[in-house]
Formats: sequence, structure tokens, C-alpha cells
Amino acid sequence: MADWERVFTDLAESRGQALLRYAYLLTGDAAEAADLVQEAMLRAFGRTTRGLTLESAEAYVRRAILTLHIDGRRRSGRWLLVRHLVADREDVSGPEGAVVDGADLRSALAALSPRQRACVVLHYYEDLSVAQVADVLGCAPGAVKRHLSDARARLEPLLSDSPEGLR
Amino acid sequence: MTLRTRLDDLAADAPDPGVLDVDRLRGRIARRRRTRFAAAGAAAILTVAAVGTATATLLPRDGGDDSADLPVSTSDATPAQVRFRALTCGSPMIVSERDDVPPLALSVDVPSVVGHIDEQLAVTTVTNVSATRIQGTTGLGPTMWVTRDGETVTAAAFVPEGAHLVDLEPGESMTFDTTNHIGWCGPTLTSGLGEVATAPGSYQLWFTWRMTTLDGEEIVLYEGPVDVEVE
Repeated sequence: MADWERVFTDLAESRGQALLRYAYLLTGDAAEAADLVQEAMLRAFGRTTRGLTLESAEAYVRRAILTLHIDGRRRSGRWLLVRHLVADREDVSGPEGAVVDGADLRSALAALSPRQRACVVLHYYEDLSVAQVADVLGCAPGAVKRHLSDARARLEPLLSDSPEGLR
Repeated sequence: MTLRTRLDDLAADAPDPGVLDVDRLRGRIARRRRTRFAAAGAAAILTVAAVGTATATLLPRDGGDDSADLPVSTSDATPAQVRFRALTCGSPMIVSERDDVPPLALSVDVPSVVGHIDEQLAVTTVTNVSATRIQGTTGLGPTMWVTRDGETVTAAAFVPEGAHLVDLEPGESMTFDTTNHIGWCGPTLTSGLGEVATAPGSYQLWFTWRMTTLDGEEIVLYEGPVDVEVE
């Protein structure tokens, strides 16, 4: 078995779940997440790379997932086509809005732009700093802060009745 | 409840790893790798032809395959987390830990046993291990330093800058012959360029390669030591 095959098998077995969760948070769709992970792994291991370790391969696949997600959405314009269909703030403005289930959060995330959503996932789920998120997305830290601020404005009412919920 | 907690809960709805068709994916990867290896060879040769000054090639240097069965030491293509530099003849290489992670990796193929050490000894590969395209220029190729028994046996000499273009998509590689613009240490510091080490024994090879991106950022790669035995 070639080196890449060993790393590939290890990655699929030990980190497959984590990668699927990451992709799922970005896409909000199970089938799309599975496609994204497989395409990212194909991209990562299909190149002429040598000496990949489990760690470097996972980092590469995660970056590929993000790039594929953002570029794919940008190209297809799918997000713009469905944006008006997802929930907005008015849907959760009542007293019950402070307590939401996963479907509400999924809808709220879907209302974010791909980059806003990526910022939220990287910052709040992957625990990356603003500077690290900026590095991953290839943009300025100020842009990340702006995306997070815009995202918080949409998500905050869904999570709790205090800003603490966003920490 | 924090957003992190909510995201954790939501992530739990992600599909099970069983949805990944690993065997089918492995086959697709193998096919893609075969195609890319062939395409990368053609692309490297075209790049060399266009630039006109580069030495990159994937073709056998001697026009034959005599060396095909020789044992080869291949270094790891993961970015080396050390940097090193040579001082003067007879001094050890100065090795230090690097605190950055370069977006490119340098790997080296060297025959384990050779008749002498010269600039045609190694085939070096630069691989883009980042997720972004890397573009810029470099000199003629990686530079090789040689030590024996912990002492530097080569001395620095002028290294002309070339105009070798670098344009690597994530995961793509370029292959070079090593450029040896260094002199061998002798009674008068260096015994001149072009001379080779022929004294039998064990040597260690150290390779450096640098490029400048279109943004003006300098990327320096290090690989070594790679052991080689001169018969």
C-alpha cells in the first residue's frame, strides 16, 4: 500500500466524522456535506503530493472543503437563489425566539452568506482566532470582524436574550 | 447556551462516516494521480522551454535508465521545521528551528551510493502543500551544501539569479536538478567551482531553495541532512 493510501485510509477512518461535521455546518445539508468531503479528499490526495501526514492531510482537506464550498456557492449562485426562502429575524422575534431548536439555527445559518457562515464555523466551532480565520479565508482581519458582526446580528436573537450566548 | 454549544448540537446531525465510499474514492484518487503525474511532467518541460534558462526537467540526465535500479534516498516532502546555514569551511552547519510553516515543501532524491558528489547528484522537488496557488520567481535551482564528519566541506560562492517561473496550484510539484554554485573547501578556502568530492566516505547533503512570490514575499525551504556514500 502506498504512503498516500495509508494516510488516506487513516484520515477516512479516524477523522471522517469530524470532517463531515465541519462540512455539514458549512453546507447545512447532509448529502452536500458528504459530496464536499469526498471531493476535498479527491483533491487533496489526487495531486502529486508526497510525504503527507495525517495532520497535514486533514489540514489540506479542511481547506479544500472551505474553498470548494465558498467557490461552489459563488459560482452556482445557489445561495442567492434560495436566500429569500430561509428564515429571517422576523420568524423568531417572539418570546419563544430565545429558545430555538436545531432547525432554527440551521435556517439562520442558511440565511448567512457563504463567507459569513464560514467565519462563524471557523471562529465559533473550530475555535480559530479572527487572525487565523482571516488567514484561512485569505482576507483581512477587518473583513472577518465585519462578517462576524453581520452574522451575530442575525444569530443573536436566536440564541439567548443576552450577548453572552455568542461567546 | 453558547453558539459553540448550538453548533456542536447541530453538527451531531451530520451524516455518519459510512456515507463516505472509501473504496470507490481510493480508486478515483489513484486514477487522478496517474493522470496528474503524466501531466505534471509535460507541464514542467514546457515551462523550462518557455523560460529558456531553467534547468528543471523530468528526463533522465544521462539519456538512459542506467540509474533506475540504484537505491535512492528520498527525503520527506513535508515542510522541514528547521533552517540551517553554513559559515566557513570546517565549521558545522548552524541548525535552528523555524517558527513558520512554509507553503512549499522541498524533497530530494539522491542515490545512496555514488562515485562522486557534483551538482547533478540530486533531483529536488518543490511541492505546494498549501491550499492556495503560489506564483513567483526563483533562481536556477536548489543549492546543495555538503558536510563530512560534521564539518562543512563546501564554501559559499556567487549564486546567479535566474528567471525561473514558479506557478504551482495546491498539491502540484516542480522538479529540478540541483544547482551547485558552491566551491569545495581547499587550501585556499575554495578549490574552485566544478570540482567534485571524490574521497570515499560518508557525506551529508543539505539543500536550500528560495523563491520570491509576486507579492515580494521570500520563501526559503530547507531539506537535510541526506546521507550519501561516496565509494
